[in-house]
Amino acid sequence: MMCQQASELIPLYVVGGLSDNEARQLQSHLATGCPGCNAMLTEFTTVGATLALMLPPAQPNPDVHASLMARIARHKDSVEPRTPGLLRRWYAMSGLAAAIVLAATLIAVSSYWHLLITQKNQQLAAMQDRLDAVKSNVNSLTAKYQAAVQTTALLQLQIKQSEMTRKMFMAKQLQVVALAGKPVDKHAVGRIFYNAKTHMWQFCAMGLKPLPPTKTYELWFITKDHTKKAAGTFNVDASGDGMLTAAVGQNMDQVSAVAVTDEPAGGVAVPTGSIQLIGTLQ
Amino acid sequence: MRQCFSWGVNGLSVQSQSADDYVLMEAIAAGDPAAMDRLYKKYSGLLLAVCQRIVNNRTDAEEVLLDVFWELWRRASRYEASRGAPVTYLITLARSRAIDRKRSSKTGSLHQVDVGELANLNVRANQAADSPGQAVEFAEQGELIRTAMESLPSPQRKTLEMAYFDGLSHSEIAAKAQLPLGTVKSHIRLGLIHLRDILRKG
Repeated sequence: MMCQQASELIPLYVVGGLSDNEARQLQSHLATGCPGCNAMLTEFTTVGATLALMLPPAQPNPDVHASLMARIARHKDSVEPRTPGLLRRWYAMSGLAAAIVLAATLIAVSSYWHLLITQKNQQLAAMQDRLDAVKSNVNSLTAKYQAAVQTTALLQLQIKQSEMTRKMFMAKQLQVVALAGKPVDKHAVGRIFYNAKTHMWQFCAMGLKPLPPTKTYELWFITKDHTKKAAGTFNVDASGDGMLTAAVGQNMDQVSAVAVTDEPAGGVAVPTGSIQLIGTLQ
Repeated sequence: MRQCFSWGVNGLSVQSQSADDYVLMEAIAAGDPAAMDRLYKKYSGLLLAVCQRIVNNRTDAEEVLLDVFWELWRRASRYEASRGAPVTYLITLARSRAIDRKRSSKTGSLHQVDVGELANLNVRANQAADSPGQAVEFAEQGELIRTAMESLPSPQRKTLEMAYFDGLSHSEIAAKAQLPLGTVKSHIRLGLIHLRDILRKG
């Protein structure tokens, strides 16, 4: 299309009166960038718009303004990002111009996607950071939970031991063996509580000297024929208190004495250390 | 220099107001609601008049007005200053959307407002404008356009109004005015050229 033909169509184009075919031809010509025809289009578009000034301005209902601003407030991020003007007129072009527009379009789209991907990656990194923080928090909570479980198990064990002790102390057939700290430590004392019905016994010691980790206290039952039977090992806390509970198959009637010696850690089959506590059964 | 063509035709402009419109359009494209508020208050009366003239229904016109400004909010970045002043863009957009509404609803009855009748409506115009100064400006601009339109031969003026405000195709105008299609095109083309020449002289 030549400029002369285009200039005849432009006034009609402004008021939307061209056929589709005529409009496409004119748009193709304008898309070549013809400065004269594009300037003419701008001028006649303005002339057409001046016709609106013939009309007396109306007063819109205030609700329209309120609706608009409310919608904008709700969708503040709905503003379309700026894109090259050529992108919007690609359809009106042909040949080389269309190729140029297509290239510009691809560049614009590529840039847009690059920007989009960059933004998504940043969002992903932020989400990963939040996920790591959550994981760390979960690990911390898990460790606390496990510690609480262990504490609970320990407390349950202590409760169970206390219950056993209580039952033992309440038994009708309870025998008590008193052990004294002679001759090593006069302040140390010990007691054995024996339930003849269940054959359970409990040993308690107080005032014994705490031992190094390489050593332990060991309890011995000494029968009437002077046989020494190991009854278990125990340690005492900082205040010198210690406890040992066990079941014995033998009849305590055969036991004539009870002694505590200090032995290597883990205990021994035959006593090797010095006697720390000793007591005889009546 | 007259203030009639603040958005306008060669050699005539009021730079301060025109520049303000460009700034507002940039701000709207950047997502500034306050800029949209200002532009709405400035031109909603004018655009509603265009919409109402085309769809011939107040409620429909206000819906179109809302759609136009909402579209402007979302797609202000599409505006190209090289294609004309912001107000030209707004009027063109409003006219296009109003014609779309009219064609889709088929409820609007065609009517034509005689240019002479419009001259008696300046009081309403003054009331609708955003500020007294702007009202005076709109009134002055409207008076100049009306004078220019009245200077057109009647067939050109009426044909131009049917094309621009009624959104009729050239064939529809030819059938309605009982004129040959070529004559209709000629009237529109010559009418706009005549109007342009008058506006150029200011």
